[in-house]
Parts: sequence; structure tokens; C-alpha cells
Amino acid sequence: VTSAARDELLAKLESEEDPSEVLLQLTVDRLRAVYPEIGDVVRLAAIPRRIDPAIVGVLRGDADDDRDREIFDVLASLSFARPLGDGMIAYQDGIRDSLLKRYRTDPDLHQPFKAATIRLLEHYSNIHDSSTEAHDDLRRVTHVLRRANRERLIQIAKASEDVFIPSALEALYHAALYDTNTGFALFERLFDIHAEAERFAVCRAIRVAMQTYLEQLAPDSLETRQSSLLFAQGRIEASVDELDKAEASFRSAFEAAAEPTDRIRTLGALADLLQRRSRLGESLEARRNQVQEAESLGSTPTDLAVAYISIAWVGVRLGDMAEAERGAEKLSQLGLSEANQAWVATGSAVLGIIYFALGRLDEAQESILRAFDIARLDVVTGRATLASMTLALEMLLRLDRPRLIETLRAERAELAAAPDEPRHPNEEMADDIINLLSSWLTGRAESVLAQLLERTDETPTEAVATLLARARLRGAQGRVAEAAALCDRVIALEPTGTATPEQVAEALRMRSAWRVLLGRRREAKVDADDAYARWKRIGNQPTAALSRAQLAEIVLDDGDPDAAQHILNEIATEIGEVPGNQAELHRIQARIHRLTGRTTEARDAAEAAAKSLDAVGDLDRLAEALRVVYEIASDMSDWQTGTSTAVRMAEVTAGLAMRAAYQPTDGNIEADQRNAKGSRVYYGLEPTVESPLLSAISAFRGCVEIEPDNVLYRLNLAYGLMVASQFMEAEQQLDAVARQTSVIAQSSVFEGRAILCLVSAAQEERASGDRSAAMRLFQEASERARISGRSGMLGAILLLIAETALPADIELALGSYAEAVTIGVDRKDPALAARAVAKSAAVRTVQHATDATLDDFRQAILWYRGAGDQTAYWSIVRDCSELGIPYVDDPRLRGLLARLRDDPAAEAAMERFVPTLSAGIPTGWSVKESLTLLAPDGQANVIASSEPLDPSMTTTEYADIQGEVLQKEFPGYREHGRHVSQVLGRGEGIIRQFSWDPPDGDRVMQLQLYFVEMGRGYTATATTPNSSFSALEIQLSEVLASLIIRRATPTQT
Amino acid sequence: VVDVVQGVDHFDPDDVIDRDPEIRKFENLVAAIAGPRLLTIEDEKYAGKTELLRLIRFHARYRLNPKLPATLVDLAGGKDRYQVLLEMGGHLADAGLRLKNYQRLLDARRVRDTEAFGIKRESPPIINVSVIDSDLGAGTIIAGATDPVFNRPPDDWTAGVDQKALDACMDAFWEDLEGATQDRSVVILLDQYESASPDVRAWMLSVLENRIFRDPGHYSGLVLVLACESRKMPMAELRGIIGDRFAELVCCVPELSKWDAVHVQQWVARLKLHLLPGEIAELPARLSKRPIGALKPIYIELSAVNE
Repeated sequence: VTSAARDELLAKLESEEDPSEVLLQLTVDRLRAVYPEIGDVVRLAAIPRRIDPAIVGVLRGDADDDRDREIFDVLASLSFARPLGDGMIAYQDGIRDSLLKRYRTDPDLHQPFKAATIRLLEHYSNIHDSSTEAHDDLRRVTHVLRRANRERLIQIAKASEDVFIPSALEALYHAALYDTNTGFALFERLFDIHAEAERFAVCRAIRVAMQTYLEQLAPDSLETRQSSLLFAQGRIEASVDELDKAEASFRSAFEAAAEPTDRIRTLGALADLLQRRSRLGESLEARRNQVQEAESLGSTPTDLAVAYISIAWVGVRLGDMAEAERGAEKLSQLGLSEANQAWVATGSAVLGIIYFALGRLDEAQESILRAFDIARLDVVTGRATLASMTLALEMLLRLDRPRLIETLRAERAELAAAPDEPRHPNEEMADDIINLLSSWLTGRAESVLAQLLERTDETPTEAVATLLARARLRGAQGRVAEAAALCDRVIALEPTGTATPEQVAEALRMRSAWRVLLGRRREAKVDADDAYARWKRIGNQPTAALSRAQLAEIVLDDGDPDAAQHILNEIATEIGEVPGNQAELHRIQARIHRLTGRTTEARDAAEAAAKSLDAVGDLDRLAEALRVVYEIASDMSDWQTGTSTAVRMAEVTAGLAMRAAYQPTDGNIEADQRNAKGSRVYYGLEPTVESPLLSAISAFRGCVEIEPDNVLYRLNLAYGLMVASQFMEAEQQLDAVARQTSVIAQSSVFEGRAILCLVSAAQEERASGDRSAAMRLFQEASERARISGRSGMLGAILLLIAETALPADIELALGSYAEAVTIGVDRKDPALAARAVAKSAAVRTVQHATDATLDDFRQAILWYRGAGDQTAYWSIVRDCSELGIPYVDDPRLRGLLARLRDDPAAEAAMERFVPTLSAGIPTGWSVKESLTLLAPDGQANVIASSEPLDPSMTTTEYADIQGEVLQKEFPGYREHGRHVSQVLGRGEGIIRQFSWDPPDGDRVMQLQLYFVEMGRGYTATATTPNSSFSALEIQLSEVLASLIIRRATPTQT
Repeated sequence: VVDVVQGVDHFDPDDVIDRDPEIRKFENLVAAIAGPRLLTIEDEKYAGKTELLRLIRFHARYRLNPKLPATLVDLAGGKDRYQVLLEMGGHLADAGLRLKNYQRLLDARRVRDTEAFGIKRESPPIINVSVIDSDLGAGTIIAGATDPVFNRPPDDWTAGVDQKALDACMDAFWEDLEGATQDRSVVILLDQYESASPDVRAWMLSVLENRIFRDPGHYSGLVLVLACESRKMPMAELRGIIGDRFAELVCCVPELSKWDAVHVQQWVARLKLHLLPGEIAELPARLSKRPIGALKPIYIELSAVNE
């Protein structure tokens, strides 16, 4: 820069009002000379508050990592770019402000500015959307992670915190920068979304930010936005129970509201708040005003419906029946005009209640029945209105209106009259309602049961069993009043002899439990006592003990640990150890100890309970007992670590088991699904939207990375993966678990899984060469499969045992094969029988020489065909191959297989492929040829080729040269053997077996054949992944053996 | 030494030309009698207040003996009080100040541990399941979870609980800070008060009134530095809050010291401008025609065209 230029520049700067613009223009000019496209970016970079390479991409409107980074580096080198610590930069405030001002005032710059601002808005909105998802996902798994790995959770939560709110503020800032209307619209949208999901921290942050941005960017618009901001403030305050503040905010919002919609909205919120504060009169007043404004403005029907139903309910609660009636009627009318059945039904149901209260019983009944009719029309509407109707019905039923019951019976009969037609969901719904009613009609248990009996072809005792099952189910669903009523019915049947003494005793025992939950403790004690006496009379000691234990628990709940202890002692002396129920007794014992302050004893008892239950495999009781452990653990920080492990195990087990094997029950599918989903969500294994499962998996994967030895994490991960159908990886995790611990093997709940784990572990041992360890594990697995009746598994394990025993213990192997054949036949699993008989025959052929015959293999072929296997012969070849050395190489077995192949019954003769291509050869040209055979599953191929060689070269030299090439070129090359054999129908060739690691895949095993004749070298290579080789070895050898050189050599053709 | 506060700022003290008078005032304040002290800094936009705050932070953290933990928080940008708190707490923790209870509660909030905030957590809901054996092992489970399971959110962490937790974190922060400043100095620098959200402004004044300056003898090692655009500093409120001890505890910088010819020369030298000695001598006179704030870009420009 010359002195003159500098003088000129300084003069210019001194004369400029805003020297930053001169500066920027000069900078841009200078940069343009070097980087033609950078000028715009330098200017646009004033828009964002922080800049990193990704933001550069957004400003350019074209993300390209390398280019963005390059431009970012240029920006970072500018003298007015201020470096921030985390690899980001920002323009100095003076430059930024000046540029932003310029953007607003210069029409030429307006468009690019707006476009870039929108891109930034979208960029931050996207980040915010995904961080919201991540935030919610984390929230869903927090309760699991908190116990599993608190430190990790803190780490993840902090990372989420760093992005979640800041990204919202950036999105909002750029929207407001674009223009304040856009900014405010985004604010209201984000606020609604986050408030709906109860994410109030972000609501608060964006409200504060919006107000600040308005103050700074468009102070004039603040007044018109004041009502909305106050309304948002009120919602936040109401959500955090600051009700006084919320009320003040809503009232101020109402005062400030210029638009009718704002007033309506605010009045609705105020009415809700007042209702919540039990100031019903004021609430009703606010609601009336809301409705008045809404009706005159023509608000959305939904808003009106909400207002009407609120008026109706508040009216009922206030005893202002006239107002309530108006509300309910308006709701019904609105429903009719909007064709919304749910509103009509709800309105009718509430009207029914109002009429009932007014003593207008006929009208009440009419309204209720109308609600019923509508509910039956549409299953969704029906569900929606069920709650209000049940309330109405309860009131009506107190009058025991015969007409209502008659109507219901008629409905029932109508449904029963068309039993063959598929049931419409609405009929199921009607059924539900009738069942619901039945449970209220406790005085009419017989008639209800009679109805039940009528509609089934069960014997009376079976029908009672059905009742008991339903009672159990309803109880498990938390519908204890219905459960108790179902028990009532069974007990009421005792005099008729329809219910067996056992059924009555069981009903009493169950009813006792439900009555505890219903608060009818005194009656519950009577039932428990009665049940105990009956079970004792029947002679069922375990259940008698259980009934007695139930009494102990009720007494304990009554706050009398001494009496409870007395009962437990009684059980111990009168009944003694009760297999299966010991855990229950330990559990109660633990509670008693805990209540009496003996925490150490409590812990021991609870652990004993957990152990006994683990053995029993009763999940619900296991979970319950461990929950006691959990509660005690919360009180005793010193051993919390130890027990929390058990708790986690129990919860995870129960949750996972539910997920793994949940089946819908008796037709109340909605409840079932809700239950199942609830449990799964609770255990962090079920997404409520799409991604939380994956998020849980990734969280657990992170846990496993951090603590690879933690079995619980692996179990969580494995089951999460199973739920996500990622079975391969799940198996790997379970394998790792099986190697690390016997915990899973001890769980009878997961017996099948445990057996599989044992098998995996055994296979691992066998692969590592420890046959005796493998055998022990296989034996344990087979024993457990035998005991638990898993014959399919047993058959497969027997085959593995036999192979592990060979070649040393031939008797064990043959015995195992024989048992597997029997199982295969019994289970109608011909493939199993075929495999076992083929392997057995192969072993006998090799080791007993004469014992086996072709007939054994023929039988195997028949069985394989029975299993639908069209390539039975090759399946047998695979079975024999799997036996490995010495069987694979045995000439007797090979001979027998060759005879089988040639046996027409085997349908195994190979077709022959003869090359069809032929060509004329210019003088001096040479010819290479090749032939490729591919296995159908792509798991093997054979490539045979020939090439011209120096006429002096021999087969051995050729094989040596090839060997050297392999050694040099193939990564991980290893030679497994090399032998001379008759090949290609011509003479002695060389066959080499070797393996190596292809750069793009798994390790492969190859068999390569070499032969030289008349100046041509012949090579044939059979290839298969290492892991498949044992199963394919014989087949591949057969293919190689089938290769022949045709009599006419190619050059002569 | 370059001051890098992770994720926040990156500062080279050589970027700032002589601010000795202001630094002296800060040092005097640090050395002054026990009690929370306040340094207010005012000037026009772009006058260099932020640079000065960064220099003070650098000074506190690296040049004073003993070195002091310091945090500089920009109040602008629409942050609410909780974000400012998180930022402040994070910086001080990074600077090695132990705010034990605050950190514990903050982590407890992150893991949604209701018990840490004295809120009793309900026992996990009772799950009733019964198992029927089946060949595959996992069992057929007739289920049901009871109502609490499917009606409750995945955890008990409601908005009300979160609010309680945040307030508890906030209380813990100030209580921990009070403890920490009993026997050592801690510096909190707050920038752009004029651009702070109403929420943060109200909160700050309330903290000053109800905590920091409430009783003598508390927060005795705390040094607050508050920067604000001219005429926007809440001086009347501060006087009201601090009362009689204002003169004793507060030091005001009503405007930044102006540069003289020596400063300009230093600046030119630092920019490595290829100027002749005569031109350098001439510059101060030329540049002094403008207020210092508006001159800043010119220096920068000189740097740019000479790069």
C-alpha cells in the first residue's frame, strides 16, 4: 500500500459518517481479488450471532464441508472477527450493528439478507427439533439410566441442555430479525408445542427471549404483543403451581387484550384456573363471558364445546342446575350441528345426571339411553363418553330401574341371536358396558352368571373357572371392584354346587386381596381367614399358607407388626416350609422387620425372598419382592449399591418379559394394549413416538462401552435390540452375557433363552478347543431342555453333544443321535431325524466300518424330503461335512456318498455343464478360458480356468509358482494342506487348501487344484467363507472332482 | 498467555491497548476492605467496555497474586435468569471454584432425582404379571400394569418439580458462593446490562438487594463488575439497595479513559502497520478528530489494508 493510497483512505474514513461500511467494502474488495465468491458471505456473516463452518454453509446456501471450512478460516482471520473459545467466531458488535442497519435500509441488500435469515432460521429450527426429540428420548429413559449409570446420564443430559434451549433462542432470534410477526408466530407455535409436552423450562426461556427481542428490534410492537406475553407467563405460572401469580397474569393479559380471540383464550384459561382453585362461582362467570364472546365471534366448535362442557360440570358441582342444563344442551346441539357424536353423547349423559338430580327420572333415563345408543354407534366416541356415562349409570342404578336392565338384557339377546356373524367392535363395546353394569348388580349375581352360562358351551365348572380367570384379569388390570364382584358371583354359587370347594376357596382368597384395595379391610380379613380354613380343609397346604400370609399382610398394613409376626410364626409351626410360597413369607417377614426398625434383618429376608422367587420364576412376585428390597435400599444408603443391582435386574426382567411375550387377553384389547404399552414405556423399552427405543438402545450401548463387564447393561441392550428386531447383535450381547455370568442361566423365566446362552457359550468353548468345558455346558443345556420339556431345543443340542463327543466317545455320540432321531420322529420334525440318522450313519461308516448301510442314508433322504427339502442329498453331504476330520476325508464315507449320489432314488446326480463358447484365434494369440459355478445362496463358488504355459513346466512347478503368488499377494494367507490326487479325469494333480482375508469381506477358505498338460496350466478354485467351509467341504470336493478336461483341447477346435 | 474459557471466549490481552487506569481501580477494589464490592463501568456503544471486562477477567485469573476465579457473562441475547446462572456456575466451576451443593443439585436435576430436592418419589408401581410356561421360555404373560403405570408420565418430573429444582439450584449457587467468598475473592463480571432481558435485570437487582448487599459480612470476597451503556446503568436502584455504604463499596467508571498520542502509536505498532515514522507521528492528530469509539474501526481498517 502506497503512502498516497493510505492518505486517501484515511481521508475517506475521516469524512465518512460510518467508517465501518468503508472498512467492510474495502475488506470485501480485497478478499474478492483472492476469493471471488466470498464477498456476500463476509457481509451475510453479520446476521448470525455466532459463526462456525456449518453456519458458513447455511449463509452460502450450499453446504460443502471443505469449502465452508476454507471460507470460515478466511472469516476468522478478519480483523473484526472475534474468536470465541469453542472454535466459533463472532463479528465485533459495531460492525454487526452497522451491517444489520445497512441491510434494513439498503433495498439492494434486502433480499439476500432476508433469504439468509430464513436459512439461518431453518437451520436452528432443525437443530431445535432434533434436540427436542433427543430431550424427550432422554426423558423417557432417564429413570432407567439414573439407576444404571448416573454419571453417564449427567453427561448426556448436560450435552442435551447445551443445545436444547439455545437452539430455540437462536431460531427465535433469526425469526424476529426477519420480521417481528414471523418471530412472534414462531414463538407462539413453539410455546404451544412445548407447553403441551410440559417442557416449561423452554417455554419460560423463549418467553423471556421473545420479550427481549421485541424490546430491541421493534419496541413499538411490544404493546400489541403484551397480552400474548402475559398469557404465556400465566400458563407457565399455572404449570408450576404459582396460582396467585398466574391469576394476576391472566387478568392483566385480559386487560391488555385488544383482539377478541385473545380475550376468549384468556377467559378460558382464567376459568380453568379458578375452577382449579375451587372458586366455582367466579369460574362460571369467566366461562359465561368466554362463551358470550366466543358465540358472537364464531369461535371454533372445539373451543365452544370445551366451554359448554365446563359450564355444565361446574354448574353441576355448584348445584346451579339451570346453568348446567344450558351447558349440556348447548353441547348436544353443537354436536348435532357439527355431526360430532361424542359431544352429543357426552351432552346427553350429563343431561341425564342433571335430570336425575332434578328428580326428572324419566327424562334422565331417556338421556342416558340416548348416550348409550350413540356410544354403540361408534367405538371411539363410545370410549370417549364412557366415563361420563358410567357416572350417570351409577346414579341411575341406585334406583335399580327395571326398564334399564330390561333394555340391556334385550340388547344382550339381540347380540346372542346372531352368533355366527363376525362381531362388530361396537358390539364388543356393548358387551363391555353390560359387563360393567353386571358388576354393579351385585344383588343379581346369579342372573348375570346365568346369562354368562347361556352364551357359552362350557360346563358349569368351566364357566366358573372362566369367571375366576376374568376376576384375576380384572384385578391385574387394576379394575378391582369388578374383580371382587366376579369373585362374589363364584362364592354365591357355592350352595348350588356349581362351584367346586377349591374354586370357592380361591375366590375368597382373591376377593380378600381386592377388598384390601377397595378399603374394605375388615371384610378382607374375614375372607382371608375363611380362605385359609377352606384350603386347610381341602388339604392344600401351600395355598392355605398363602391365604394365612395374606392375613398377616393385612394385619401388617393395619400397623400391627407383632400380630403379623405371630401369624408368620403360626404358619412356620403349623405348616412348615412351603415350597413355592416361601418367598411370599420372606417378603412379609422383610416388611415386618422394616416396620420394626430391624433393617439388617429386613435386608436379609428381602434378599431371601428375591432368591426364592428367582427359583420359582414367578415374575410378578419377584418384582414385588425386589421392590421391597428397593424400598429398604432407599432407607439404607450403605448397601444401596448392592441391592440396586437386584432391583434393576427385577425391573428389567419384568419389563422385558412383558415386552417379549405379551399377549392380548380376553377381548379388552384396548386396556391390554394400554397396559402393555404402559409397562414397556415404564421400562424404557417402548417408544411412545418413533425413536425412543433406538435412543434407549443407544444409551445402553453407551453404557456397555463404558462398562463392558456390566451384565445388566448388556441384558438391557440385548433385549432392546430384540425388540428392535436386531437379532444378530442381540445374540452377540447375550453371548457376551452368557460368558460373563450365570445370572441369566439362573433365571427360569428366561429358561429358553438361558439354554440358548449355554449353547452359545459351549460352542465358544468348543471353538477355542476346550472340548470338556463345552461338553459340560452342552450337557447342562440338554438337561435343562429335557426338564423344561423343550424337545425341539433338546434335539438340536443332542446333535451338538454328539459332535463334541466325536471321535473319542463314539458311544455317547451314537446314543445322542439315536435320541435325536426319536425326538425328531415324536415331534414330527423329520429334518431333525434326517440329520441325526445321516450323521449317525456317517460315524458308523467310518468308525464301525460295516455297520451302516446305504439304507440309513436312504431313510435320511426320505425324511429330508418329508421336511420339504428338495436337495436332500446335498443336505446329507452337508451333515457329513460338518463332522469334519477324520470323517470328511474317509474314503469309505466318500464311497458311500458317491454310491448314494448315483442312486436314482437320491435324485442327486449332477447335471453336467459343457462350455458352449468357441472362437477362431489369430496367429500368435494365446487363449485363457474360465468357467464359474455359483452356489444358489452365494456362499460358495468354483472357478476353473486354463492358460497357456511354457511347455517345459510341470504340475509341481506350476503349483509352486502359484503358491508363491498366494503367499505374497494374499493378506493373512495360511496354507492348511497340500496333497496329490487324481484330477480332471487325466492324471495326478495337486490340491492345496488355504485361507486368507479378502480386503472387503470375511476370511475365506479355498481349495485349489493344479494340473499341467500339453503346455496348458489348469487351475480350479473352490471358495467359501471360512465359517461355511465345514458344511460345504465335501460338496466342494465333489464339484472339483467332477471337473474333466474334454478330449479335444481348445486350441484344436 | 491466551485466556480460553471453554465454549465461551478466547482472549489475547495484547489486543487491548492500555487500560491501566481501569485496571488500577479494579485492583484497588480487590484489595479493599472486606465486603462485596461493585465496579460499574459505563460508556457509549463500541467504546471498548467488553474488551475491558475481558482484560479484567484475564488480569484476575492470571496476573493477580493470588489468582482469582472469575466469570464474565454477557447478559444480552434474550437469556433468562436460569441460563445466566448456568453460564456463571459453569465458568466458575471451570475456573476451579467448588460450588459443591449447587453442582450436586444441578446434577440431581439433570437425572431428575426428586429425592435430592426433598420431594418424595412414589414407589415404582406394582406390576402384576403371571407367567404361564411356554416352549420358547419367556412365558406368556397375562398382564397388567395398574393405573399409575399407564397414566403417569415416564417420570414424576413435573413442571412444578422442575421449577422447585431450579430454584433450589439457584439458592444453592448463592449460598455456596457466599461460603466460597468468605475467605477468598471471586470475580463476577456482567456485560451489557442494558441489553439484558427484563427477567434478568429484575433478578439481578433482587439478588443484589436480598442476598449480596443485605447484611454486612456476607459475600465478603465477592467483586462484581457491571458494564452498561452510558446513562442506562440502574444507578438509582443500586444506591437504594446499597444505601449508606455505597461510597465505600462501589467504584464507578463513568466513562473509559481516552487515548492519547502514545496509545495511538502503541496501537499502530501493534497492528504492524508499514508506516513511515512521520506518518505515525501524524496519525494521532488526524485520528483525534473523532470520538474514540468511532475510531476503532479505522484502526482495524488500517490493519486490514496493511495485511
